[in-house]
Amino acid sequence: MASSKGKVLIVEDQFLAAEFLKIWVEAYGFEVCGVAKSANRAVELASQHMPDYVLMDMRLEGDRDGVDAALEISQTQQPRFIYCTGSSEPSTMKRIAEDHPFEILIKPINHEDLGAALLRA
Amino acid sequence: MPEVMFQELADHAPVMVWRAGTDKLCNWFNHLWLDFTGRTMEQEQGYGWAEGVHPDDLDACVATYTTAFGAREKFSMTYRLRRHDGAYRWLLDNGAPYFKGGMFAGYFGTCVDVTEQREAHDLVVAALAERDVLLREVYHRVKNNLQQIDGLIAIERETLSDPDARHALSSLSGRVRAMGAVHQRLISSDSLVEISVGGFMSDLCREIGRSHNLGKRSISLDVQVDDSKIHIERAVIVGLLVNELVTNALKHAFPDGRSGVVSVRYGKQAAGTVLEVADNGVGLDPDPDRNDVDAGRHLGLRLIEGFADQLNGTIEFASAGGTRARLVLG
Repeated sequence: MASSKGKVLIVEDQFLAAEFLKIWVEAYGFEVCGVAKSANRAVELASQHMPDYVLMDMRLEGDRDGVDAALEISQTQQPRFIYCTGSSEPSTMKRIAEDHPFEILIKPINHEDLGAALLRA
Repeated sequence: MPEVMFQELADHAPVMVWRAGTDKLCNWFNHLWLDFTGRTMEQEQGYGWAEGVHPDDLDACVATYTTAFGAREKFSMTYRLRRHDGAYRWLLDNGAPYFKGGMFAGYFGTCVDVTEQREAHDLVVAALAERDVLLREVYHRVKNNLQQIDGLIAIERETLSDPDARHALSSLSGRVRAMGAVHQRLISSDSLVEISVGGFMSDLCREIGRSHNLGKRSISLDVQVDDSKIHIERAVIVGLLVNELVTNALKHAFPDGRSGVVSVRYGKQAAGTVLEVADNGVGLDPDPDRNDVDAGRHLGLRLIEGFADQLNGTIEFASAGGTRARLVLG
């Protein structure tokens, strides 16, 4: 995609949620370079595609959460992490704060907020 | 051990102690017991002690005691015993036969006051029961909300005349109902985290059949599902998947009023848990370009693949004498 505004990795274990994100991300002119359901897969895809943005869900398949994945990816590259979480509980926010998120979006995600976050770069 | 030494030991033991002879009658109680009940040794002897047992616990208490005694077996039971101040306290009573020179000589028992533990336990049980009630209430509301959404979609559909738009909303309705079927089952399920696949799948398929007017068409749905349980998160996805597959079959396999059967199978096989939806209709054309895959059907297929992937499963389609979809669940 020559005219892409940047590469986005979607990390989300729910298929439908990942589909919505994909449709919106592409509608805003970005390229989706991969969709991962687990932290391990997210790390793999990030090192393979070097995304500019990562849309990171907190609850993932497997033992590790979104912050685990983000911290590991951050060791070798610096994409902007946009967290997409279903919970605004203090415990979740505290956990996300262990990383240095570029943006936190609370589900259900409004596509305008997502677009604004992506275009703010 | 001399009798005097035994009594001294038993009297100073930090638990209530009783002893019975071979005739089942209690013949001795330690100080702690007598202090607890506030009665004399004479009052407690024989079956006198049973006068202090709570009337609601008496039958079970005496039955446990006499049955164990008859079989010369140990027993452990809880019952309420009246304390000297009139308050009933829960006791844990452990009794065991004892023998002298190899001959059965009677029973010994020790009792501890477990009222606090019992009350704490009852509180936890009550709290858990309350949690279950609340959770069921939430499931009920989710189900009602899904029905409301379904109603809103139906109303919206009636305002439209464009067949594609009406068709899209009907498909959406079917998907919402498939999710509702899980919550419908959860309300009556023993467990709040899993449901039985059998009942769920039957409900769901009946509902899909109803919304496709099966009563007026010569197509039957044959559902055979094992009696396994499924976690609710997976059930929602499996339900959506079955909805797509069965709906596809009902829409495309039997054109021009053809008759036939759509079968749904779910159960353990050598490969793992397998979901199969098959029909004996017209089948897919071997040339994919010649199949009438409109936008709606295209979305359906994308959903099927996505849901299969979310279940960590692999889905295969075969077309011989109809269409067969086979999903091995991961």
